Amino acid sequence: MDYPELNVPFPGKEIFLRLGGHLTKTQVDPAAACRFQRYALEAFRLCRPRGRWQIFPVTAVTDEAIILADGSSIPGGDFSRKNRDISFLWCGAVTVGKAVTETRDSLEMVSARAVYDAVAGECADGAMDMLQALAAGELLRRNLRLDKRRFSPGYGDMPLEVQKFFFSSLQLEKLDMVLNDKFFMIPEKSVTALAGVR
Amino acid sequence: MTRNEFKKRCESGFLILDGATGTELIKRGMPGGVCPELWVSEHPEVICDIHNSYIRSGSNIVYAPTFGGNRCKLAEFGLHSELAGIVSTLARISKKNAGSRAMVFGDIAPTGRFVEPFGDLPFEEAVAIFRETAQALADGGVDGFAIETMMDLQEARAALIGVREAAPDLPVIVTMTFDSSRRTLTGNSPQSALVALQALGADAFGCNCSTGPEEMAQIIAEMRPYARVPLVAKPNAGLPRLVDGKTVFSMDDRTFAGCAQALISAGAVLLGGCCGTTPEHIAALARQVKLCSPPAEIPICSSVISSASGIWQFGSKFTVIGERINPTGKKAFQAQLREGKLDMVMDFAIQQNSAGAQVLDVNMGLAGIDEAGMMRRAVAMLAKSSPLPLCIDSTDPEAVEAALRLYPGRALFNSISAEKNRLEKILPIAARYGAMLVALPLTDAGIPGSAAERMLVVDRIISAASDYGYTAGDICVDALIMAVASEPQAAKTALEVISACEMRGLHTVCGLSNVSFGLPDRALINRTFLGMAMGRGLTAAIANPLFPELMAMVLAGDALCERDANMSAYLAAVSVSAGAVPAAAEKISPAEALKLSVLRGETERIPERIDAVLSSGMTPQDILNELLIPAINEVGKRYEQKTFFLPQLISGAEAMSRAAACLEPLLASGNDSEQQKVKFILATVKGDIHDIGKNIVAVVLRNYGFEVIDLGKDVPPELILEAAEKHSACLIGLSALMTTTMGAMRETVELARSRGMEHLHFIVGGAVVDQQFADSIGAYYAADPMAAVNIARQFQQN
Repeated sequence: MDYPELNVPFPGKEIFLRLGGHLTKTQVDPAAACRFQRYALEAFRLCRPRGRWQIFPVTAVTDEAIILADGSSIPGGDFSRKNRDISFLWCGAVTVGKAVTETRDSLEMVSARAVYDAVAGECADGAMDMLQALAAGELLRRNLRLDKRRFSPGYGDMPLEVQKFFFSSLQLEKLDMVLNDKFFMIPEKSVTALAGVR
Repeated sequence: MTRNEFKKRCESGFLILDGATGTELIKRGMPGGVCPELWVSEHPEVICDIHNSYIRSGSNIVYAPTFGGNRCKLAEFGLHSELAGIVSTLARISKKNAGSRAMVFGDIAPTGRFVEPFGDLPFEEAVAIFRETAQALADGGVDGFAIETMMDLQEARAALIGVREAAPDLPVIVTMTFDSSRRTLTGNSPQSALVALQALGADAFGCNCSTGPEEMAQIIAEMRPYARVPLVAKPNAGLPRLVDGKTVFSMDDRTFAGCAQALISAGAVLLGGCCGTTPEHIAALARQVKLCSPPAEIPICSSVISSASGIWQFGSKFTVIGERINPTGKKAFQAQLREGKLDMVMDFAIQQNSAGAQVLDVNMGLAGIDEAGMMRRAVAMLAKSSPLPLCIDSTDPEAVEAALRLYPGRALFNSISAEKNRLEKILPIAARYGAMLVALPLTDAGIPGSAAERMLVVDRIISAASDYGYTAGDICVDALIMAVASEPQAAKTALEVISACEMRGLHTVCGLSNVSFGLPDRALINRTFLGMAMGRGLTAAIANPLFPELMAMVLAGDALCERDANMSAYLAAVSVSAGAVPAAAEKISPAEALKLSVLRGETERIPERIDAVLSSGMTPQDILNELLIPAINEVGKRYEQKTFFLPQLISGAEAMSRAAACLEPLLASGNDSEQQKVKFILATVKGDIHDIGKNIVAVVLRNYGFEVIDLGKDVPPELILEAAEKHSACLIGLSALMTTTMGAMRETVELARSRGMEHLHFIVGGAVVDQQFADSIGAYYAADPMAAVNIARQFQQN
């Protein structure tokens, strides 16, 4: 399923918390608040969240990997051990595009860069939340249940090399995403995730 | 059934809806992977059986099996060209089977795409998609429509407009799904969705799916104070859980029905079930509803407008409608609009939002531009990026329609007068989209001179508006304040209009700055008039919220008019802004002003502040030691106490940098501080390209007197150790974002040990790094930039 535009609500609270804000303690004077809000909204306007997902039949689950029907193996014991009984593997990818990080990197003020970075990061996370929720709804109609808990390459024991699987199986070039030789995604604020489907 | 008959039916008692359809179809043999609409049309006996089960259970309304009967969903099966035939057939089958036993509502559900201005599906295309389905359902003879499982207000609006255009006289139920945070997937609150959709013509509104009945009762209760239409609850049968690889829901029929009283007490009038519910659940619910007591009466507020994410209730506080998005008298803004640019619209919106406006007036009236086109673009942009409801300000019917049709909320419309053109052409447009109205007491003959005459005109407008279903609560009367410089009695007349409206319970608004036109010190006249008008009961003003004195007066006015419980907003605002009131800032010394600029991160003001302090006779060294260093220490302390967050810490550091740069030429002679700086090597480790965190640490460290040698990102261990040797540095900061690149931290530390470089101290940080990991590799852990500074300072002192 392809979502060329994901309608991510402005994640104001999440950005504030990501930047170390405390909901009751932090006080920002009005001028600074206006400045930071401006950075945040400018960054948000540059984010273009979009994503795709697909499910793949699972034939076996070992302690170290998930084996798919086409013979592909997805390494990562943390994930496979928690998903022994899954029927399908859900794979999703989102990106917010490169405009926001390109602009971030061109900014002189590091404070502005920090806000841009937080906005782009939260926007990407929000887009993945949304993609997963949309997929859950779609799968429920097929009498399938998508786990809320998701795993991403590069976290836990799932190697970054798994990104190769995402790029080939989800055709992420259609989202203008590329994978570099160190398995980092470009645009930088992109998220890939796996979850079990029962 | 007409809309009026439906309304009366709802007023006469509770209505029972049906339960889940999809799972019932699967139970009766529908295979996976097929198009449900096509399969049901080929197996009509199945849906008849399901409907019969629900009707026997007590359902007054059953939904035709057309959940995916829109062009987008049918296209997934290559069936979009057969939409009309399939959908109308399903409606006919359902209607013929139900006969007079129950009503059949056509089921309309999401397309699966996001609608403009939030998504890529153009709004008019979305309307056309839903209109096509609604037309097919109407052709099939449905009694009404159920727009359900909507996850986005704008798509629900498109569906409702599409249905209204296809079948204006049939009733429409709209239900949306709200998650545990009580928001839709796209951030709409239940109240904002209710306010927008009931204004747009929904005959009932509520929730379906997502939650069980207890949670749904809370959502219904939150909506009830604003609900002018019957509320709908179609919850799931509790929470889903997995049993033997299959999804089952936690509530059996009796438990589910046991929640009926909670839903009814919350305000639900139409009750049914969604995922996991069966005819047994509906039968138990129908039995239970008969035993339930009706809810207690509560006042319903109609003077409410909304944005996509929130609502604003007139009268709850004084309403400041920000006036800045208006090209009149703004040459730069006019030039931008003529170039087709809207950058300043966004700037004005942000400024006014931050300054405390509750509503944004949007006026695109400028000769030589396409007002309707620009208005539509401005509304689309503001709807996406501002949480404030909009006041659409135009006399051009085309611009008004463009704005109100697209706007994903209930707007305030400024304005309807008693002029023939406005009553005949613009009022129907405003009514079609349910906008709240500003009533301008003006006729084709001009502005009536006395307050009594103006009130007669107000009555004419209210009467005309009532023909479209408006009530007095939907209208805000413009007191029509004119310039006192040319009409000395203008203020008195406007105040009399405000008093007259106050006595009749009508809300009032005025274009505040008109009163002072042509006079010196306009702000003083504006504030004074505002105080007088608030005393007479003025509800709202179209004003410039960027005047702090004006906003302070509004706060005080609310406190004095009992619109501020315990004066909490007033007291909170006064205590927060005590040090920030411009008048107070002017009185502080240049030295204090400089410290304040570092604390506030006002980088651009630093040079002038430094000059002022130097002029006062303070030496550069004293400025550094007695003002700047204590100020940046205070910034760090507040960050550690969490009264500052990261952008404030960095801004303070940036202001400090600017100050240090200003002082540097003056400090150069006889200052040995440069020689004493401790060197700090900083790098994002091998394999990792994320460097924003490392860059922030660099800025903060530099401002605490460290010489930072930033090696960049993706730096191999060998290069880090070479740099340490070359610069004779003993402090090394390593950053990593991914668990998979944390290994390079260990590698770097171990390489240093293997080379006997025991004098090196490593400080590690990054999103996935923690104390345990740092301990395991023999490094210090810095959770944030200030932690890195504090660790480094320990070595500085040693």
